[in-house]
Amino acid sequence: MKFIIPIIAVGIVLTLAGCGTVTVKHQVEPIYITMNVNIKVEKQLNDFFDFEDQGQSGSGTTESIPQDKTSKQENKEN
Amino acid sequence: MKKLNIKTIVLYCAVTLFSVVTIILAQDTKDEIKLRMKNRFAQISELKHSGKIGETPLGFAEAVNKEFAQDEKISKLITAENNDRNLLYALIAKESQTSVEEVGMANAKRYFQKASDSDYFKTQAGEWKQKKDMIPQKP
Repeated sequence: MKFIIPIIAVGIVLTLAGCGTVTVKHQVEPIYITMNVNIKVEKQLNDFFDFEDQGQSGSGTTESIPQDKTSKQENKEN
Repeated sequence: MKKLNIKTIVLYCAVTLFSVVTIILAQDTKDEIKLRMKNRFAQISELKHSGKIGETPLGFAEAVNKEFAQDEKISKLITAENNDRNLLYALIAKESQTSVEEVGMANAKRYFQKASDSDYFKTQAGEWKQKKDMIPQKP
């Protein structure tokens, strides 16, 4: 008789724990799908805007970068 | 039975042809958008670097203040740019089975990563800030 209440309590705890694991499993898939979509979108955007990198390398504002490279090369040669 | 088979084949061919034409047309549209944006890129970059236009959280260009918004040349450029961005976001959203807003936000993030420190960005609160003021400073 003494053990009836602890057994019922353990039973309730185990039942609740079982319910908890079911909800966790359902939350994993949407995150995975969202990440896949984000990666797809980022890749498509990067592919589309590839001209931005080409344009920047030829623009006046970044002309100092190739000059720096050449000066480094000259220093190495010296 | 034979007639039905021929009809099915014809219908299948028509659907395939329609799909191919749609894909080709969509590709053309994307290429056209790219060409227009590429031609506009230098002007947009110049306006960004001079602090006249900035980027919104949804991936669209906007004048940083009213004075620049009233400038006809800037206004026309922004409208043309945003129209093309809208078309592009819709195409990518359709291809990736996501929403236009998601694509816009991804592009806004890309612009932020590539921007120089002096470029302007609109916060969620609607306030314009330079990139350098948005990145938490290290102590």
